[in-house]
Order: sequence, then C-alpha cells, then structure tokens
Amino acid sequence: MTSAAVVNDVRRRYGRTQALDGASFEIGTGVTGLLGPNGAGKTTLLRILATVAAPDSGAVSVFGRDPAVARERVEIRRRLGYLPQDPGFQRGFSVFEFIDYVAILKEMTNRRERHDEVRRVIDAVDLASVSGKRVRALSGGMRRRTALAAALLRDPQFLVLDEPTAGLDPEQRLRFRDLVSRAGEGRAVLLSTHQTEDVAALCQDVVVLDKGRVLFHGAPAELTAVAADRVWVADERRGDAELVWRTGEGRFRHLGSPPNGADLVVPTLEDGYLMLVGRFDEEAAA
Amino acid sequence: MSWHVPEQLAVAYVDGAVQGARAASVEAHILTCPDCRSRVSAEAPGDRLADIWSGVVDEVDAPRRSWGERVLGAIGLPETDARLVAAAPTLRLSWLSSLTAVMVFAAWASNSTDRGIPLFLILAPVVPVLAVAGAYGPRVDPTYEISVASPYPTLRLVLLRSATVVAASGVLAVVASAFVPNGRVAAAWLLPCLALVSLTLLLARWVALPVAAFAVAATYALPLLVALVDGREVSSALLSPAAQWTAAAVALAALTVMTADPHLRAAMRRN
Amino acid sequence: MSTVPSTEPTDAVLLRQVADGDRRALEQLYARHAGWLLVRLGRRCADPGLVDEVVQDTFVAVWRSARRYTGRGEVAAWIWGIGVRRLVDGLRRTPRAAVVAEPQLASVEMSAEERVLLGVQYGDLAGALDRLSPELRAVVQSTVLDGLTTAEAGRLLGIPQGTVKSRMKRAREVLREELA
Repeated sequence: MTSAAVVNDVRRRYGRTQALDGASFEIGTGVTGLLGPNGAGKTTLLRILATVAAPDSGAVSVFGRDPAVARERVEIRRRLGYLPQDPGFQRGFSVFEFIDYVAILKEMTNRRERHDEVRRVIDAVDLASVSGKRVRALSGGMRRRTALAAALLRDPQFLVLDEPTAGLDPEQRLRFRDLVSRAGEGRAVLLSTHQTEDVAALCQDVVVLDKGRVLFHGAPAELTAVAADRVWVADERRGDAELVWRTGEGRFRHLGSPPNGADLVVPTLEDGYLMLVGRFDEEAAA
Repeated sequence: MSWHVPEQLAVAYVDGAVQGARAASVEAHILTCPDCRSRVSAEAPGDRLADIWSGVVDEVDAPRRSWGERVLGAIGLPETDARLVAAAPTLRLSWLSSLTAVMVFAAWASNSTDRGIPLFLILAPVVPVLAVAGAYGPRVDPTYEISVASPYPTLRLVLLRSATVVAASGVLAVVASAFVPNGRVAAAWLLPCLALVSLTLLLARWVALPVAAFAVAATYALPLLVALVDGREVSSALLSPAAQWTAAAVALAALTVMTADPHLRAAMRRN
Repeated sequence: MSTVPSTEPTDAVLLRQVADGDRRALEQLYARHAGWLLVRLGRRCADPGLVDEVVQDTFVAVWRSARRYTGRGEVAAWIWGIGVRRLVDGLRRTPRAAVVAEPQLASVEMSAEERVLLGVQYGDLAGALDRLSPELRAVVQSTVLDGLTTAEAGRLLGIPQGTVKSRMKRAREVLREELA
C-alpha cells in the first residue's frame, strides 16, 4: 500500500476544545471511512488534510508533500477534491455556474475544456436535468451532490469528503457508493460519515476517531470482530450489558456481557463501532 | 389528417430535390404532424446537427456575465479572474447599499451639523476598508472553504477583489465628496483611506481579511469618534499637513512591505 | 391527433421542463425539432454557416424564453417562428443571398385560414400558384407559409417592403382572377 496521506501526532485546539489530541494514522489508495461521534474531531482532521486548517503541532503529509510549505501546499491542492461539511453557494448561482466557478478555482482557464469537464461531473452525479437551476432552490440532497460534483472536478487523486451521504435518500446513497468506489480505484478517498452501513459497503479501511484520538484503524471486518461473541439477543432487557436497545422485532439487542438465556448473534460493523466507542452516536441512532 | 409525408418524399425534400407544390405541402404539414416531422428530421445531416448541439449546450450552460464582469474584462482582467472577482460578497446589493447609506449619511452630516465635517473625515476613509472586509473570508464568502482548498492563489483573489471593491467604494466616496461644502475637506480623506486599506491588506497576511479590515477600521475610527463625542476638535488635526504626511508615509511603508513579498509577486504574475 | 407514444412527454411538457432549467428536456426538443428546422431554413438561405448559426441561436432562444410559450398552438410552429425571424435578422446583419425555393402550395395542405389570407376560397389553388411568376410566388410563400410580416419578408428576399406589398397585391389579384 503506497501511502497517500500520513497524519503524525497531530494536535489542534479551538478555544477551550481540544479537537485533535495526538491523532496518528496513515492511509493509502482506496476508500477509507472515518467514523466517530459528534465532536470527535473528524471535521478538524479533514480540514487539515484538505489544507484548509493547519495543526498546532504534529506533522501531516499528502503524497509525500508538506502542506505547511507554500509550494508543496499548492501541489497538494492540485491533486485534491474537497467536499466541506457545510458547503456554501453564491446567491443566484446555478448548478452549472457554481461548478464552473470551482473549476476556475481549480485552474481550468480554457473555457471549452472547463465547460466540458463541468458537464462531465454534473452527469456523474446525475444532475443534468437541473444544471440550469439555482443551487439554493434545490433540495438538500441535490445541493450535496452539486458540491460533490465540484469535488470531482479534474479527477483528483485525493478526495476528502466530509459527510458526503448526509441528506441523501437510499437510492442516491447507492449511486453515491458506486461513484465513490469507482473514484477510489487507484486513488485515495477519505470520507467521514455517521453511517456504519456506508463504511461496511464501501470502505477497505476504517479509522475510528474519538476525543481527538484514533481509537481504531483497520479493515471493516476487524472492526466488526471487536464485537465478536459480545452481541446477544434476548426477549427482555436485562443484565449489566453496556448497550441495550429494542430491535424492530421486539427483542432486545445487548452489547457486552451475556445476559441469561440470550442468543449469541453475528455482530455487524455497527456493533463493533458501538463496542469501541462505548456509547450511542446520537446521529447514527436517529 | 389523411395526408402524410411518405419516406421517399421526405428524403427528396431534405435533398432539395422536391420543389413545387409537394415541397410546400411538406413544410406546412410537418408543423402539425409529429410523425412526419421525425421522418424529415431523420434525414437531416447528423454531423451538422451534432456540431450545432454542442454550440447550443455551450451557450446554454455558459454562465451569463454580469455587468461587473464586463467592466473588469474591459479593463483587461482575464475572463476567469473577472468571474472570481465579481463574486465578491461586497459587490452584492446588500453590501453596496449599506456602504452607500454610510456615505450619504456622512455627506448629509457635513452639510447640516457643525460636527458633520469631522464625521465625514472619519467615515469616508473607512467605507472602502469595510468594502474590503466583505471581499473575501470565512463566513463572508460562501465558497471560502472550497476556495482555500483550491490551487488558485488566495493572495491573488484577496488583492484582485480588494482592488475592485476599493475602486467601487472609492467612486462612491468621491461622488459623496462632491456634496461636501469645503473642497479641502472633500479631498482630505483620500490619503488616510489609502493608508487604512494598505494596512488592512498587509495585516491580512496573518489574519482573515474581514478581521484585519474591522480591526484597522476600528483602531482608526473609534478613538476619533470618542474624541468627537467629547467635543474635542478633530477636523483641524485630520486636515493638518502632519496628519496627511503621516497617512502617506504609512501607506507607502505598508505597500512597500507588501510588494516585497515574493509569494505575492508569484501570485500576481500568473496568466 | 398526436401519435407520440404515451411514455414520451409532449413538446409542451418538454418546453415547461426547459422553462424550469432542465437541459435534458432541451436535448429532447432539439432531437425532435432541429432536423427539420435545419432543412427548412436551408431552403431559405444559401449560406449553410448562417443556417447553422440560426439553428443554434433558435435553441438558445428556446432555452431562454421557454417561459414565454403560451401553451396555445403547436410548439413546432412556435420554434419555426423564432427560427425564421432569426434568419431574417441574420440576413440583415450580413446580407447574403437568400434562396427561395420554388413555392407551390398543395391544395391538400391549405388551411382555411391561409385561404382567407390570400382572399381565395375555391378552385385549383396549387395550379394557380404554380402559374404565378417566381417573384410573386416568393412573396406569397414568405408571408403566408413562413408567417413573416411584409418588413421581414422584404429582408428575407432582399427587396424593399413596398415591393413586397405591391407584389402581394398583384399576387392576390392574379389568384382571384384565376380562381374566380
């Protein structure tokens, strides 16, 4: 695995919050999922890797280049596609105009080539039918896809996507997985998400972040294995299991120590994640 | 409708081989009959139609250039730069109208109250600085995060946008000056304004542009406003040659430090 | 009357989608209408470059002014109206030879409205038109069939407006005599 991005003991503080507290990991090509509860430091980490923010201490390198050095930073940005957590849109810009604007920022000066490329990414996210509409008049899912299309411009080698599936309906999420898995062939994709299903379906590699530190880094199957022999289903809520909830079938799923008379079941990635973090992630549970 | 365009007639019509009554019939008929229309259309030269379509697509998609972009283009800015500059939040109606309101107020005050002249001298140079505050930065520009993560040099964007909004708001201030009773007063804000704007841009190397602009504007205007409210004499100090020379020196120093920056030179040399 | 399969949206529906900024709908309209428009305009103008330009401008205009389609009448006729006027404008900007094909009207396709315009009701219209001189026929074609005003017809044919009027008057007289 050639390494695309390396994060080494990175710390970053915002006011009184220690957003990142010595995070270290290394990712290669393929799709890497970044999981973690709210406030775990995911967005801060992605902003640092997207060269938008700088760490207070520690080292970052993308494709062997140091974002702290101006010349190398530009080299990183030329290979980068970034979907911010909360992308904004100029008032009055249509989908095409917004993506064209980003294409100019990505140094596409030739008008014809630029417009062809804009059309390509608009087709890739299936927005051709609304390309002339004002972005601000679109639904949340469509706005998200518009920003995603902008991130895909110039076929970047490193895609940094902050919660790309937020606001997408199941069908759009499926399309998105297809899109990202293809983008991940030979390139590096790092995406944060609250959806453990996205990670299970899409990622070769998972990083779990909590309180600014890396709790886990490995394959999805290894994360699932964290909960092996520790997921039980019983007819009643009982025992001192760490996490219990009532499933759709009316039975109780227990994570942790076995309650009496419970059946051991095969864990999911979500079980592994919950075991690890030790608590519910409000948004994933919502 | 009983009559239709047979296959051979469609072919002959497209080839121009049909004249006479039959050609006219085809033309009148295809306006109302979708089937015959598609039969005729199917015979039209496909490669030409494909070429025309790509032209249509390009025209249809092409972002329409605003008047601001046309002005910038006319003074020699490349089309791409003009597009990025014209998206400056300051150039939106909400910003421009509030800046105009400040200038109208200052010009009105200079004519109607005895504290109006110093008020004008304090406010006029600040207006272009406030315009710079709305040129680029977090929370100001909706695409700020994406802009920063892109290879387009941030410094270039900051300077091009700042120059544009300073020019636009400068025009505003000059127009307002025409209504100021005293000619010396009307011109005295120019050098302080230049000093404040260059200080702002210099400061923007370390902090976000809006922060720099508000800090500079407040540092200049607040003490003067306090003095004015206290009833102290402000005009003569601002109009004094010493104040004007100081402003000129500050502007010159800030601009010199700024232009000595190799990054800035590299950023501005593109294209 | 329409034989368009029910799964295919009608032109009017597509035009409404175009008004909403749907580029795919414009592409469908283009696929349906650009072909015949190109051919028909080509019969009015000898310069293929200008014709291409006019077809392009026409569909750009359809994109921008789809909202202005009232919903009455055939979309094809509306598009033709835009196209032929753009051609007239194009010819005015850069005068090039307009070619007017031999105009002859078949009785089968003469609507009552068109007959009224010509002031003729009965008789062998096609035959009568065929016997008109080419100059008179050209005027009849551009005003009646193409739907142009006398000023526009004059520009298309490269003759003064007054001449269009006098030729039209003359054509009416001849037709009335023949069909009386």
